[in-house]
Amino acid sequence: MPFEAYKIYEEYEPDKYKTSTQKKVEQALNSAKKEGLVPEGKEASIEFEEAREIFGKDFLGPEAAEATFGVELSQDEIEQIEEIPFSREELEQAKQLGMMLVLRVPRIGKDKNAKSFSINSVREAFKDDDKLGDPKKKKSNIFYDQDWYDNESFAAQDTPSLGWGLVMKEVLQESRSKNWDEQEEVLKAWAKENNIDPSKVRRRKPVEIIYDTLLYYGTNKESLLENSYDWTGVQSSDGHFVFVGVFASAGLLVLSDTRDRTVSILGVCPSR
Amino acid sequence: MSKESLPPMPNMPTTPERIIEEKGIDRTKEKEKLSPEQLEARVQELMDLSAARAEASKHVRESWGGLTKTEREELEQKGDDAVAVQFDALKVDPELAEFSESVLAEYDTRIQELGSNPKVMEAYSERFEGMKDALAKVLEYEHLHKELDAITSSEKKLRLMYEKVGRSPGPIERTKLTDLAKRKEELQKEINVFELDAASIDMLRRREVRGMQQDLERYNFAETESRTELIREVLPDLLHGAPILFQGETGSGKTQLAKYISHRFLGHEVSPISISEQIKESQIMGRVTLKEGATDFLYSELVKSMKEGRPVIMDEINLMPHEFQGILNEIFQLRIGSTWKHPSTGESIKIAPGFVIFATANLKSERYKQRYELDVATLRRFIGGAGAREIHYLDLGKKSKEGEYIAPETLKILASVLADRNGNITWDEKEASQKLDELKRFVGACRKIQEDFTLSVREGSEDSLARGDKLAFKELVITLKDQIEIMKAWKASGFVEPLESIVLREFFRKAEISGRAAKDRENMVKVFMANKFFKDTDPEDFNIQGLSSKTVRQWQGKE
Repeated sequence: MPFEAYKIYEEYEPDKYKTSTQKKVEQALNSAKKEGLVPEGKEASIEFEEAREIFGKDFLGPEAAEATFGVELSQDEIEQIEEIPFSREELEQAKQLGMMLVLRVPRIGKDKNAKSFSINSVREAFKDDDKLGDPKKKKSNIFYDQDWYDNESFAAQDTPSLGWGLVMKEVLQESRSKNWDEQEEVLKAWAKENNIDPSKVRRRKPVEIIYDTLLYYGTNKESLLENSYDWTGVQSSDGHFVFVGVFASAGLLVLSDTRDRTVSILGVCPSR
Repeated sequence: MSKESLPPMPNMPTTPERIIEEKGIDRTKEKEKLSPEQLEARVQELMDLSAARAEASKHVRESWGGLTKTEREELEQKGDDAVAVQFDALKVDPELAEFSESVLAEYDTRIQELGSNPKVMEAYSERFEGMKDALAKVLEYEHLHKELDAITSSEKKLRLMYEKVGRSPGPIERTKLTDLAKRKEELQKEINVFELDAASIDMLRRREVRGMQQDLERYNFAETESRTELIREVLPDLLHGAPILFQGETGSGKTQLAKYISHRFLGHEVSPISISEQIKESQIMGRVTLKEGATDFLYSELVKSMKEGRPVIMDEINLMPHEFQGILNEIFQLRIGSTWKHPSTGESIKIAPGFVIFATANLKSERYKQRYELDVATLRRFIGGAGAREIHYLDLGKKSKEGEYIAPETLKILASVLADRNGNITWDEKEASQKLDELKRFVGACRKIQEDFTLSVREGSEDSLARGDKLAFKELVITLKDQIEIMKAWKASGFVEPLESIVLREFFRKAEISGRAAKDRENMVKVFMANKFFKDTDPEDFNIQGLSSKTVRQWQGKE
């Protein structure tokens, strides 16, 4: 894996390709932090509309979940997710870092057809055709034809928890070609660099990656992780760590490997 | 003003597509069953090979005057003697040529093998399409910047034109100026909200590296932010023929900058006018000569440039004796289109578009106090009125927010020297951080030498320098050009040779041959050692007169 020459001086021009809004947000955030206006703890909650305004197409709320997975929230659930657990500043920073805001619901389908959202149930739901993407650019499959994980617990049992998540849309460039343990260090460094408590930054579970990727695809007709894999902290029954990605025309791939493996397309997406 | 449209991206076949078309499918690979992992590995290999093949092929073509092997063979078969002579003149090393050709053939064979599997090709094409999307975004972004630069420059030029006494824009010109300002604002807004994803930023940065490599090849100069800013400021005046003076330390790139501006932005190579303390009037104005039995007046290079519209450079203008300042000041006042009466021939010479004077001078200092100083009247005639544009070593005095010395622009240029055409450096993953550290320490040492040299030139006194933890350098400094040469040699060694050996060979040995400035070289060794170089170098290898082995060993902490 060659070394990108621009990495030699990139640190000296952090703002070079940022939009003016991204620059302003960063400046405001930094000065607020310096002045102690942004404490470590939780900020005042933010309205859906404000979050939608900040994230634009990267806001994937109840409407997106309903349109993609046909899921309807109960009154109880609406109350639970009414409060987005991030401050406006955190969201603005997240957007600027390239993250999306995702509402995860542990179900697929509604009424009598409602099922718990697992990798296997969603594979079943989308097995026939690409019903999510742009009809003119359909993928041949939503899931790559694989059977090795049919009986794995992460595919059969794991479901996402109800709630909001912030997720980087693509793997961190600096996490590529790193083994699993080195990626842990990358995640910590990334958190530190962005003034985020490292204990709040985590890897996604395989089911979350699939949920988020399909939700984004269904909503925006654009594929995330098209040329990369996001490495999870979940182990398959042989003790290997599972990774999900390369969402190209043949569908999402789910693979696993030993923690010492390094591949250029195997990175990690920080999530909160 | 209408928005300029970007031409559509051409739909060219990809490298594997082209090779498969030429060589056909390898049937043994066509139906091979691949696991998802194998598929992924092969697609990645195909991507890497296609990118590297383009590079290798370009090298081969360039060494053969831009021709491919097939094109050369066709020409040779025609039996044209001129072609054979032309190829002989290229003096291509047959061994190297054969190696390059065979490497290229191996690339093709492996690409054919990989591309023969339809699943691999399908996945490759998809990924390639993704890259094309990123490229389209990058081109759009670059296009916006180029349009903004062009409009800013046009607007500035027009405004300058109307600043002249007696000229003012009429209603149509005013509308044009308003349109320009409006479009500029629109473009600025578009750029401000242009969101780039990671793939596009990666591509933009690689293109920037490539752009610098091309500039270094073509102009022996690479434009970085500080120089771009300066060029933007002075270019409109230069286009009107106003003279410019660059003042700075030796080796700070004054002449190179003048040559670059002239070649790139004014479209002409600059003609040098030699200045020395012994310069004669005939060298400035011209001289009487005999032509076909009659007397004739042969104009100097300067006067010819005025008539023909070419830029000129007067290096070390402060060496010009005072007696010529009157005539020079008169010439410095000339602008494109104005008329000047030649004092000897009486000819009225109209200054042709393209004429401009670049002058360079060392900074006024203790070191150069014996030299003539330019008087205020002369200085005021240059762009900006207040005199000269100071050109210092790149990054001089630049510090990070934390107060540490940094050299971003130097590192940027050196990175482009170290990189291949795809913007990659062939540092292996494991050694990259150590090599990067080596590079940064090297640049740190060079910076310190440049800083101390600048101070030495200005202040002169070793005592005052020592008080400020500075070392005195009387004549030797490591310039950007030296650093580039060292980087080239490092790259040529495949980064196998330690950087310190290259520094010793490419800089210290060469300086030693010229026998220059033993004390300066000694101080340089000190600076490099402070930056963790030469820890185990044999003291004899420095070969500096007056520097004992014992002293070196003490510096190395060995005695």
